[in-house]
Amino acid sequence: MAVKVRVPAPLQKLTGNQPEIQGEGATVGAVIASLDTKFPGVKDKLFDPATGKLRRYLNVFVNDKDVRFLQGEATPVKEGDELSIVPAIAGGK
Amino acid sequence: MLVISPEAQAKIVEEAQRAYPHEGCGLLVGKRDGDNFVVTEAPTATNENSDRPKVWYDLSPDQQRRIEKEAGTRGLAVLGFYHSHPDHPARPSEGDRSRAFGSYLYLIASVEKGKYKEMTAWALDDDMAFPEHASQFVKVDIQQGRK
Repeated sequence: MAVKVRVPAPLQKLTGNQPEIQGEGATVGAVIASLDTKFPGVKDKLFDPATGKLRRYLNVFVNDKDVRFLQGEATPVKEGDELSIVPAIAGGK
Repeated sequence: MLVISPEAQAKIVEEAQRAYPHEGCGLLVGKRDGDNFVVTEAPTATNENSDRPKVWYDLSPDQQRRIEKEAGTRGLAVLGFYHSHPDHPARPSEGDRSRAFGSYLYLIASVEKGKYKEMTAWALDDDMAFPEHASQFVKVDIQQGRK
């Protein structure tokens, strides 16, 4: 099923400068993995090759819910959902 | 170069002073114009760090998502982020560098004894860098934009 994916600026070089792209899949992990077909390299930026899990310092939302509080990458998605990839912004003096 | 509106600049100063002695933070919203970042708005966001907010900030991801989505409906984008350095120079720390993402602008406002002192802007030398990278910050000139 088609899901809208909002991508942050550091990934937009890989998406032809598009802030919104379409993914396919029944879970968060599957949708993100599907992006690589149209936009090669996106998956490698988002998944840690060592663990196969989403990289640290990335937050993923399905609509207005952070997937950390749902089922992580296994969170189910349905047609029309919006998935947002939100970099974790932090730092200190 | 960063071209920033007087309103956005005033908002950053206000938030940096309000948050003192904690670190305040927010987003830089506007449009890219070639190599220039044209920032017209600087909405604040909550520093969610509760352990050591005087020396660290964790910008609320939910507010970030909402602000980015709303800006997108007006043809604007999140170009970067700002945070304050209470009683510390407006220079990026190793923590700032190691947690930075490429493509974004990072603005730092220093506050001394509760009073705003100066702001500087920085961007990584690798547009596609993700945190825990080896890239470095390069200083970005700041120019005052129009209202």
